[in-house]
Amino acid sequence: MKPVPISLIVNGEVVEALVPPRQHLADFLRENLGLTGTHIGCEQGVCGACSVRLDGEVVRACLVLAVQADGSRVDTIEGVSDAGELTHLQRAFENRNALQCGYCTPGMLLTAAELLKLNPRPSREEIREFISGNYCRCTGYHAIVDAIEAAAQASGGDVS
Amino acid sequence: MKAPAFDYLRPKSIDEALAALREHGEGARIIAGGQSLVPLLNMRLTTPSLLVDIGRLSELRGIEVQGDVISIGAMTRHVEIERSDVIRRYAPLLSSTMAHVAYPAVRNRGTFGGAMANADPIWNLPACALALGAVMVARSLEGERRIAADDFFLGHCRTALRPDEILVRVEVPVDGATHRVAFRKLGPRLTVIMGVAARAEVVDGICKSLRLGWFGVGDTPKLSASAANAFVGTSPDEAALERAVAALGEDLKPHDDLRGSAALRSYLARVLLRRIAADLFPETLGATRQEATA
Repeated sequence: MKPVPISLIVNGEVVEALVPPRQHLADFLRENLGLTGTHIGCEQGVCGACSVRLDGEVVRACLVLAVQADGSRVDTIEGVSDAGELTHLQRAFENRNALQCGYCTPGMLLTAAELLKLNPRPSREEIREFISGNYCRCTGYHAIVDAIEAAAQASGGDVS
Repeated sequence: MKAPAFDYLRPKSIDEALAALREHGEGARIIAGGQSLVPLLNMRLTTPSLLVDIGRLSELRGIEVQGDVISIGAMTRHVEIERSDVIRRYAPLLSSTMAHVAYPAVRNRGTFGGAMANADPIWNLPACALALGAVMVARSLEGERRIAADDFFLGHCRTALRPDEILVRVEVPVDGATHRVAFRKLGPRLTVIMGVAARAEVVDGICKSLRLGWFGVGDTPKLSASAANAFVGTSPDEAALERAVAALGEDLKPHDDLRGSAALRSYLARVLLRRIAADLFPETLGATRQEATA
């Protein structure tokens, strides 16, 4: 059907494109912009692999149409990690072996960063609750919870 | 999978949205936060010819106390309700229930009105609307009409909204010092079996009113008026609880599905009723009695 012109800011750069309304944001980021750090798992909002920031908040890119992101700011794992915002978390994930295949990791990192922004010293239970929408099929989650907890401690509650 | 093809319109006003719905009829679907609709599109379980995106209509957003009701704009996102001090103070059932709605990333985008209009019978928010005795306000080109939550949920994902109407706001009553609310559910997050939301008024130890809104018990969320009435006018004690448990079978006719049989649901309904009664009336039906057999 009729393509729609959109203009948005992706990782700080203005992007203009003509998109079919049915294309979701994850496909747009991957196919049109080559930002393949946004992974596609379930395409029904369950697994969290496609997490991105939309106007500063973590959302499922498979549940946002690219046309709906018109006029918005989108930050992907590429932009957020290049900005150095995830350094504590990335180091903790590496130290604790909190990833094996790595497919869920971009979504886990963005979700964990949002948690630590809202709640710099979460309990293990609060960590589990907050990442409950991000599936990991390798680690069994213990190492991920360890890593997020360690990152919170390492930053001394300062996650900026 | 990928969504089927459709056209997209982002109207600048409610009237423009209403005109589009009038023009395109049932081929048009409203998209708000999209957290339920986009999965359905991706799975090709719905094939609209046009999506009318009302997600950015700021006049549909916001939480406001107006006398003895709280008006919640249909496009108010779950996360805004979850973090709202006004909701925490005046409609605490919604604050405490939000943590059970999907995940943070979905709550960042999903809307309160969307949850009502989509009316999935396994969701907790429509059951909360029943428990609170909410009023749905729908608008068409002809004007607004008010629909009691009791008359709003008609079938599986089917409501009293007409194809040319938009749900613009939901009104819930303000809780006072005499009100008590509670929420209980059973089953894992992604495969919840069922649950119940409650709002009671208790004055001098006497239950003045009680509404119990159930989810996961059939095609729609359901009130259990007979069970609730067993408590009303009493100082809720064991005898009242037993009458309520006995009456529950008149109110709920649960269904079979992959998450549980009708017999299991009938059993769990009795368990949930005992637990939520203990939550609501701890003085007389305290926590030690929660685990009594159903």
